[in-house]
Amino acid sequence: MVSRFPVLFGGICLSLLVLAALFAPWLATADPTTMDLPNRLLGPGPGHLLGQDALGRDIFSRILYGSRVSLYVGVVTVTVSVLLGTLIGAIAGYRGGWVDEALMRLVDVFLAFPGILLAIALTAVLGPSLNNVVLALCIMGWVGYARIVRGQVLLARELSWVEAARATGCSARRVLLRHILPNVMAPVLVEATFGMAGAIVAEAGLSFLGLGTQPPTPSWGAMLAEGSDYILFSSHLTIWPGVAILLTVLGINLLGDALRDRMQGTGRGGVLNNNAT
Amino acid sequence: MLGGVGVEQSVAMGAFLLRRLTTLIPVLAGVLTAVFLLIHMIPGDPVEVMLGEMAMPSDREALRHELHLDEPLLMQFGRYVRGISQGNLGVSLHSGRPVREVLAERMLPTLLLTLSAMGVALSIAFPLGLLSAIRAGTVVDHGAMIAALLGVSMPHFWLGPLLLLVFSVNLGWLPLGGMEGIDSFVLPAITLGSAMAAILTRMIRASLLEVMDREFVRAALAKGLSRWQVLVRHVLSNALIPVITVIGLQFGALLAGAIITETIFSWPGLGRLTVEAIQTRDYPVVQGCVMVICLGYVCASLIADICYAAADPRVRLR
Repeated sequence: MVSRFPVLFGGICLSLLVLAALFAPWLATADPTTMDLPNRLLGPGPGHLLGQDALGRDIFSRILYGSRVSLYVGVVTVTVSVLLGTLIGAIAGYRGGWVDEALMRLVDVFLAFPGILLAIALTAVLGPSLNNVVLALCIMGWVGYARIVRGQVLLARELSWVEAARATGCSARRVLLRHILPNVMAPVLVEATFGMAGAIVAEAGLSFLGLGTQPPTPSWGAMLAEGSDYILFSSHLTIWPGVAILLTVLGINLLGDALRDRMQGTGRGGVLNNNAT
Repeated sequence: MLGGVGVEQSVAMGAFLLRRLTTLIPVLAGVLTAVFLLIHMIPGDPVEVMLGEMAMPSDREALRHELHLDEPLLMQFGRYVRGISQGNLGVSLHSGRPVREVLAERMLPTLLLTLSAMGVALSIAFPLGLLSAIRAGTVVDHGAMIAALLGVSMPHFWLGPLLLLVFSVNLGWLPLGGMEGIDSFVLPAITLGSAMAAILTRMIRASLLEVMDREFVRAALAKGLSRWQVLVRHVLSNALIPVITVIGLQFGALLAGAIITETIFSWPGLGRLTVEAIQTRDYPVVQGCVMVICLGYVCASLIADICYAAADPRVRLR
């Protein structure tokens, strides 16, 4: 029961995100961009479940619509990064030799840019917009998947059934697509789960800095940035978008952890812990 | 005989260092190229983006000439690399001062913040990870892992404002921002170090549990050593080796994370300079910031690898 709780909680959080994104127009209690200046910064009350922001817009409705941005960034970034990373990793691992060497040096260069820095630099030069954020996140996102797939392909290509497939005259493409990749994608799936959480946080971070989603489109990161400006008077502007990000990321991380544990199995500490109890 | 072993180990370490330093060459070349190309990725005319649409044509030409954007790309790259090798990173378009000077002023605050955040992370992660591992499966372990999961999932740009709300706005215990006195370090260091603390706690726990499962631990217990002796002498010394690499990588991540943390707390460091330079379209300064943060990241992972090789002889022979 205890071990099922994280998966259940994670599943509920992710379902809420998807439902909010899909049904935002029906669930929202107000238009997310309609301003109501006389009632700006008003706290939670009738008609405005979570209060109103600095321009009098309904925070609850903006959070609902903001989930669309987060889901879009998470899904598109992970899909493109997985496809690109798998392609590059599979070619490097299967071909080996100078192709592998060159591609892995390219990976090293990308790894020399820490986390969000490359995305910040790219959105700074390309211009602030949601699509440029996705582009920047994809440019830096493929690297992790490429490394995993390469490692897995290196191991798999020596296995007997892959040898057998090659011996029966299968082309390199067929061996990779039909025999190797379907069997090595489990760790990629785990990484993709964490990648989705990372992409959602990165978009919110870039929007917090003013480099991501542009007004009036609601984005959780941009809402937090606005909240920081009014933190002395109206804390509800800061609290609720943050709760939305936390629940989303926590839910995805819980599912990722559960997926990884299921695939790898977990250690329990052996004799030292048995003696401890 | 013993001297022979010492010489062999030194040779292996020397060979490892040489191999590791060789891998730096393409990385540094790649970073240089990427930072150089940043300015060329600006859609349309970079000079128009920097000066605005209303700028006089003569001013545009002057800036184009000053940045050497009127030369062929390869010549620009050669000039850029030559400049970097002489410590010349160009001139800030905003203040007119050399970028090197602007960066030098902001490096110390960022370094101090990053080290403080690392201190916070290590002082939380080591006791919590250890406690969690030796009490695996208990309420203590579950509590620590929930805290770690929250730490990993809570973004800096929410934790920072929340801490400000509680400790500066409501309680009035700590300053709202800036770098004045020791108390101004508390909230930024906790904000920046929280994710690293969470990642390290999980890592230390997992590494300890893995080592605890090994045969030599069973053997040490069987020969009559106490649990604490086994833990300190056999488990910790082996389990903490892989943690070194993670600390190195996380130090680099802290440098990048400082961009957001410094913005929240108006910290006068490289991170805030990066955001200010982006807002004022001061691209030579943006390039300088990206380069310095990348070099810091590369150096941190190099130092971590060297420490790893020094601690674990098997790494040197790979």
